[in-house]
Amino acid sequence: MSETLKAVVFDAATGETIERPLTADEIANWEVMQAEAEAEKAEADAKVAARESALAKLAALGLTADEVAAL
Amino acid sequence: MAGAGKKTFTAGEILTASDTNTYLMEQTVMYFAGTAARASAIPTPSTGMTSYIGTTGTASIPQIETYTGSAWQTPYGMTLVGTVNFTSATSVVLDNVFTSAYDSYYIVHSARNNSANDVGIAFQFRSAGSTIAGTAYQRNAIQSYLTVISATGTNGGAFWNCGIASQVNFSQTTMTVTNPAKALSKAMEFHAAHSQAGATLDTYYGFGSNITNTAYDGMVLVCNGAGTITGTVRVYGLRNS
Repeated sequence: MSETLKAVVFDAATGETIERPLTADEIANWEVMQAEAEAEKAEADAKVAARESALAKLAALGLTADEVAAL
Repeated sequence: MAGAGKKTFTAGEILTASDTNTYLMEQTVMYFAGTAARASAIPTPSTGMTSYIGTTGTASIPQIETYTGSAWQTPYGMTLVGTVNFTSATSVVLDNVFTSAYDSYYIVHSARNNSANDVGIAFQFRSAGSTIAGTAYQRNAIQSYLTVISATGTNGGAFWNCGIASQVNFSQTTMTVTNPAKALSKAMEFHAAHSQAGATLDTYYGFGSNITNTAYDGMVLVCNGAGTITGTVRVYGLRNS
Protein backbone atom coordinates (compact mmCIF):
# COMPACT_ATOMS: atom_id res chain seq x y z
CA MET A 1 0.00 0.00 0.00
CA SER A 2 1.66 3.23 -1.13
CA GLU A 3 -0.68 5.61 0.70
CA THR A 4 0.30 6.52 4.24
CA LEU A 5 -2.69 6.11 6.52
CA LYS A 6 -2.83 8.88 9.11
CA ALA A 7 -4.11 8.92 12.66
CA VAL A 8 -4.96 12.19 14.41
CA VAL A 9 -4.50 11.67 18.14
CA PHE A 10 -5.83 13.99 20.84
CA ASP A 11 -4.87 13.33 24.46
CA ALA A 12 -7.17 14.98 27.01
CA ALA A 13 -4.57 14.41 29.72
CA THR A 14 -2.14 16.78 28.05
CA GLY A 15 -4.28 18.75 25.64
CA GLU A 16 -1.89 17.81 22.84
CA THR A 17 -2.91 16.74 19.35
CA ILE A 18 -0.47 14.92 17.12
CA GLU A 19 -0.56 13.29 13.70
CA ARG A 20 1.20 10.01 13.04
CA PRO A 21 1.02 7.06 10.63
CA LEU A 22 -1.20 4.16 11.61
CA THR A 23 0.69 1.36 13.32
CA ALA A 24 0.78 -2.13 11.85
CA ASP A 25 -1.77 -3.28 14.44
CA GLU A 26 -4.06 -0.38 13.58
CA ILE A 27 -3.82 -1.15 9.87
CA ALA A 28 -4.65 -4.80 10.54
CA ASN A 29 -7.60 -3.72 12.68
CA TRP A 30 -8.76 -1.32 9.97
CA GLU A 31 -8.66 -4.06 7.35
CA VAL A 32 -10.77 -6.34 9.56
CA MET A 33 -13.25 -3.54 10.08
CA GLN A 34 -13.46 -2.75 6.37
CA ALA A 35 -14.10 -6.39 5.48
CA GLU A 36 -16.82 -6.59 8.11
CA ALA A 37 -18.42 -3.35 6.87
CA GLU A 38 -18.34 -4.51 3.25
CA ALA A 39 -20.01 -7.80 4.14
CA GLU A 40 -22.63 -5.96 6.16
CA LYS A 41 -23.36 -3.57 3.30
CA ALA A 42 -23.59 -6.41 0.78
CA GLU A 43 -26.10 -8.20 3.00
CA ALA A 44 -28.19 -5.04 3.40
CA ASP A 45 -28.06 -4.30 -0.34
CA ALA A 46 -29.19 -7.85 -1.10
CA LYS A 47 -32.18 -7.47 1.21
CA VAL A 48 -33.18 -4.19 -0.45
CA ALA A 49 -32.83 -5.76 -3.89
CA ALA A 50 -34.92 -8.78 -2.86
CA ARG A 51 -37.64 -6.52 -1.49
CA GLU A 52 -37.72 -4.42 -4.65
CA SER A 53 -37.90 -7.59 -6.74
CA ALA A 54 -40.80 -8.85 -4.65
CA LEU A 55 -42.63 -5.55 -4.99
CA ALA A 56 -42.16 -5.62 -8.76
CA LYS A 57 -43.64 -9.12 -8.92
CA LEU A 58 -46.63 -7.99 -6.86
CA ALA A 59 -47.15 -5.11 -9.23
CA ALA A 60 -46.98 -7.52 -12.14
CA LEU A 61 -49.80 -9.50 -10.53
CA GLY A 62 -52.00 -6.44 -10.73
CA LEU A 63 -51.60 -4.76 -7.35
CA THR A 64 -51.70 -1.00 -7.51
CA ALA A 65 -48.86 1.09 -6.12
CA ASP A 66 -51.05 2.05 -3.13
CA GLU A 67 -51.86 -1.59 -2.45
CA VAL A 68 -48.21 -2.54 -2.62
CA ALA A 69 -47.30 0.35 -0.32
CA ALA A 70 -49.96 -0.80 2.15
CA LEU A 71 -48.29 -4.19 2.60
CA MET B 1 -13.78 27.21 56.91
CA ALA B 2 -16.64 27.79 54.57
CA GLY B 3 -17.44 31.13 53.00
CA ALA B 4 -19.45 33.32 55.35
CA GLY B 5 -22.05 34.67 52.92
CA LYS B 6 -22.82 38.40 52.66
CA LYS B 7 -21.61 41.25 54.88
CA THR B 8 -21.99 45.00 54.40
CA PHE B 9 -18.91 46.74 55.78
CA THR B 10 -19.39 50.13 57.44
CA ALA B 11 -17.11 53.13 57.25
CA GLY B 12 -14.30 52.93 59.80
CA GLU B 13 -14.91 49.26 60.59
CA ILE B 14 -11.82 47.14 61.17
CA LEU B 15 -11.32 44.64 58.36
CA THR B 16 -10.25 41.49 60.17
CA ALA B 17 -8.31 38.62 58.69
CA SER B 18 -11.28 36.37 59.32
CA ASP B 19 -13.66 38.62 57.40
CA THR B 20 -11.16 38.96 54.58
CA ASN B 21 -10.78 35.22 54.30
CA THR B 22 -14.39 34.17 54.72
CA TYR B 23 -16.25 37.00 52.98
CA LEU B 24 -13.71 37.72 50.26
CA MET B 25 -11.04 35.12 49.63
CA GLU B 26 -13.20 32.02 49.99
CA GLN B 27 -16.05 33.47 47.96
CA THR B 28 -14.16 34.61 44.92
CA VAL B 29 -13.54 32.62 41.75
CA MET B 30 -9.97 31.52 42.42
CA TYR B 31 -7.59 30.96 39.52
CA PHE B 32 -5.20 28.00 39.46
CA ALA B 33 -2.98 26.81 36.64
CA GLY B 34 -4.14 23.23 37.18
CA THR B 35 -5.83 20.87 39.59
CA ALA B 36 -2.55 20.05 41.32
CA ALA B 37 -1.95 23.70 42.15
CA ARG B 38 -5.49 23.97 43.50
CA ALA B 39 -5.12 20.87 45.66
CA SER B 40 -1.93 22.30 47.10
CA ALA B 41 -3.47 25.70 47.83
CA ILE B 42 -6.77 24.34 49.15
CA PRO B 43 -6.14 20.99 50.81
CA THR B 44 -9.51 21.12 52.59
CA PRO B 45 -12.04 22.89 50.36
CA SER B 46 -15.44 24.00 51.58
CA THR B 47 -18.77 23.48 49.88
CA GLY B 48 -19.48 26.21 47.37
CA MET B 49 -15.89 27.22 46.70
CA THR B 50 -15.44 28.03 43.03
CA SER B 51 -12.28 27.97 40.96
CA TYR B 52 -11.11 28.49 37.42
CA ILE B 53 -8.70 25.78 36.33
CA GLY B 54 -6.24 26.49 33.55
CA THR B 55 -4.62 24.00 31.24
CA THR B 56 -1.58 22.94 33.23
CA GLY B 57 -1.39 19.25 34.13
CA THR B 58 -4.34 16.98 33.48
CA ALA B 59 -6.88 19.65 32.56
CA SER B 60 -6.52 20.21 28.84
CA ILE B 61 -9.59 22.42 28.60
CA PRO B 62 -10.10 25.32 31.08
CA GLN B 63 -12.99 24.71 33.44
CA ILE B 64 -14.92 26.50 36.15
CA GLU B 65 -15.49 24.06 38.99
CA THR B 66 -17.39 24.23 42.26
CA TYR B 67 -16.74 22.10 45.33
CA THR B 68 -19.85 20.09 46.16
CA GLY B 69 -18.72 18.94 49.57
CA SER B 70 -17.20 15.76 48.21
CA ALA B 71 -15.62 16.68 44.86
CA TRP B 72 -14.80 19.52 42.50
CA GLN B 73 -17.12 19.48 39.51
CA THR B 74 -18.35 21.84 36.84
CA PRO B 75 -21.71 23.45 37.58
CA TYR B 76 -23.00 22.71 34.09
CA GLY B 77 -25.03 19.80 32.77
CA MET B 78 -22.56 19.21 29.95
CA THR B 79 -18.83 19.75 30.08
CA LEU B 80 -16.50 19.73 27.10
CA VAL B 81 -13.80 17.15 27.85
CA GLY B 82 -12.22 16.67 24.44
CA THR B 83 -12.19 18.33 21.03
CA VAL B 84 -10.13 17.87 17.92
CA ASN B 85 -10.16 19.02 14.32
CA PHE B 86 -8.80 16.54 11.79
CA THR B 87 -7.80 16.64 8.14
CA SER B 88 -7.37 13.71 5.74
CA ALA B 89 -7.37 11.18 8.57
CA THR B 90 -8.02 7.46 8.53
CA SER B 91 -8.58 7.40 12.27
CA VAL B 92 -9.28 10.05 14.89
CA VAL B 93 -8.23 9.15 18.41
CA LEU B 94 -9.34 10.83 21.64
CA ASP B 95 -7.49 9.39 24.62
CA ASN B 96 -8.27 10.04 28.31
CA VAL B 97 -11.66 11.62 27.60
CA PHE B 98 -13.63 8.99 29.54
CA THR B 99 -13.17 9.13 33.31
CA SER B 100 -15.04 8.18 36.44
CA ALA B 101 -16.32 11.78 36.67
CA TYR B 102 -19.19 10.99 34.29
CA ASP B 103 -21.38 7.98 33.59
CA SER B 104 -22.47 9.12 30.13
CA TYR B 105 -20.96 11.14 27.32
CA TYR B 106 -22.44 13.10 24.43
CA ILE B 107 -20.37 13.07 21.27
CA VAL B 108 -20.85 15.31 18.25
CA HIS B 109 -18.87 14.74 15.10
CA SER B 110 -19.02 16.10 11.61
CA ALA B 111 -16.97 14.91 8.66
CA ARG B 112 -16.69 14.63 4.93
CA ASN B 113 -14.81 12.05 2.92
CA ASN B 114 -12.03 13.43 0.74
CA SER B 115 -12.42 11.02 -2.17
CA ALA B 116 -15.36 8.66 -1.78
CA ASN B 117 -19.09 8.64 -1.08
CA ASP B 118 -21.17 6.69 1.43
CA VAL B 119 -18.25 5.51 3.53
CA GLY B 120 -19.06 4.44 7.05
CA ILE B 121 -17.58 5.94 10.19
CA ALA B 122 -16.94 3.41 12.92
CA PHE B 123 -16.33 3.68 16.66
CA GLN B 124 -14.08 1.62 18.91
CA PHE B 125 -13.01 2.05 22.52
CA ARG B 126 -9.44 2.58 23.63
CA SER B 127 -7.64 1.79 26.85
CA ALA B 128 -4.23 3.05 27.96
CA GLY B 129 -3.39 4.12 24.42
CA SER B 130 -4.46 0.93 22.66
CA THR B 131 -7.54 0.33 20.52
CA ILE B 132 -10.02 -2.30 21.70
CA ALA B 133 -10.90 -4.48 18.72
CA GLY B 134 -12.34 -7.99 19.10
CA THR B 135 -15.94 -9.05 18.57
CA ALA B 136 -17.82 -7.53 21.48
CA TYR B 137 -19.48 -4.65 19.65
CA GLN B 138 -23.16 -5.49 19.21
CA ARG B 139 -24.92 -3.11 16.83
CA ASN B 140 -28.19 -2.49 15.03
CA ALA B 141 -28.79 0.34 12.58
CA ILE B 142 -31.32 1.57 10.06
CA GLN B 143 -30.37 3.65 7.05
CA SER B 144 -32.87 5.39 4.81
CA TYR B 145 -32.79 7.56 1.73
CA LEU B 146 -36.08 8.70 0.18
CA THR B 147 -38.34 5.67 0.67
CA VAL B 148 -35.63 3.03 0.64
CA ILE B 149 -34.87 1.58 4.07
CA SER B 150 -32.24 -0.97 4.96
CA ALA B 151 -31.34 -2.53 8.28
CA THR B 152 -28.09 -4.00 9.49
CA GLY B 153 -26.98 -5.63 12.69
CA THR B 154 -24.66 -8.08 14.35
CA ASN B 155 -24.07 -9.46 17.83
CA GLY B 156 -20.36 -10.03 17.35
CA GLY B 157 -18.92 -7.04 15.56
CA ALA B 158 -15.50 -5.42 15.65
CA PHE B 159 -16.92 -1.89 15.91
CA TRP B 160 -20.00 0.25 16.34
CA ASN B 161 -21.35 2.10 13.33
CA CYS B 162 -21.76 5.79 14.07
CA GLY B 163 -22.16 7.67 10.80
CA ILE B 164 -21.50 7.90 7.08
CA ALA B 165 -19.45 10.46 5.21
CA SER B 166 -19.49 11.55 1.60
CA GLN B 167 -17.69 14.17 -0.42
CA VAL B 168 -18.60 17.88 -0.51
CA ASN B 169 -21.18 18.12 2.28
CA PHE B 170 -20.31 17.44 5.90
CA SER B 171 -22.14 14.72 7.76
CA GLN B 172 -23.60 15.36 11.19
CA THR B 173 -23.68 12.78 13.96
CA THR B 174 -24.72 12.91 17.59
CA MET B 175 -24.01 10.00 19.91
CA THR B 176 -24.47 9.13 23.54
CA VAL B 177 -22.25 6.52 25.15
CA THR B 178 -23.06 5.21 28.61
CA ASN B 179 -20.61 3.71 31.09
CA PRO B 180 -17.45 3.85 28.96
CA ALA B 181 -15.21 4.37 32.00
CA LYS B 182 -16.99 1.89 34.24
CA ALA B 183 -16.47 -1.84 34.59
CA LEU B 184 -20.01 -2.35 33.32
CA SER B 185 -21.65 -3.10 30.00
CA LYS B 186 -21.78 -0.12 27.68
CA ALA B 187 -24.65 1.29 25.62
CA MET B 188 -24.62 3.63 22.65
CA GLU B 189 -27.12 5.34 20.36
CA PHE B 190 -26.43 7.58 17.39
CA HIS B 191 -28.30 9.71 14.88
CA ALA B 192 -26.56 10.73 11.69
CA ALA B 193 -27.32 12.42 8.41
CA HIS B 194 -25.37 13.37 5.34
CA SER B 195 -26.10 14.50 1.82
CA GLN B 196 -24.06 13.93 -1.28
CA ALA B 197 -23.61 16.85 -3.62
CA GLY B 198 -26.90 17.32 -5.44
CA ALA B 199 -28.16 14.00 -4.17
CA THR B 200 -30.61 12.83 -1.57
CA LEU B 201 -30.45 13.15 2.17
CA ASP B 202 -29.19 9.94 3.75
CA THR B 203 -30.25 9.36 7.35
CA TYR B 204 -28.77 6.76 9.64
CA TYR B 205 -29.48 5.85 13.22
CA GLY B 206 -28.77 2.93 15.45
CA PHE B 207 -27.79 1.46 18.74
CA GLY B 208 -24.94 -0.53 20.19
CA SER B 209 -23.86 -2.39 23.26
CA ASN B 210 -20.59 -3.79 24.51
CA ILE B 211 -20.74 -6.36 27.28
CA THR B 212 -17.07 -6.72 28.09
CA ASN B 213 -17.58 -5.05 31.50
CA THR B 214 -14.21 -3.33 31.17
CA ALA B 215 -13.46 0.32 31.89
CA TYR B 216 -12.10 2.28 28.91
CA ASP B 217 -10.59 5.75 28.79
CA GLY B 218 -10.65 6.65 25.12
CA MET B 219 -12.26 6.26 21.72
CA VAL B 220 -11.38 6.23 18.05
CA LEU B 221 -13.45 7.14 15.01
CA VAL B 222 -12.37 5.28 11.89
CA CYS B 223 -13.01 5.98 8.23
CA ASN B 224 -14.27 2.48 7.52
CA GLY B 225 -13.60 2.24 3.80
CA ALA B 226 -12.11 4.22 0.94
CA GLY B 227 -10.69 7.70 1.30
CA THR B 228 -9.98 9.74 4.39
CA ILE B 229 -12.07 12.07 6.51
CA THR B 230 -11.85 15.75 7.43
CA GLY B 231 -13.91 17.32 10.17
CA THR B 232 -14.36 17.82 13.89
CA VAL B 233 -15.30 15.81 16.95
CA ARG B 234 -16.39 17.06 20.37
CA VAL B 235 -16.84 14.95 23.51
CA TYR B 236 -18.93 16.20 26.43
CA GLY B 237 -19.37 14.66 29.86
CA LEU B 238 -22.96 14.60 31.14
CA ARG B 239 -23.21 15.55 34.78
CA ASN B 240 -24.39 12.72 37.04
CA SER B 241 -26.04 14.74 39.80
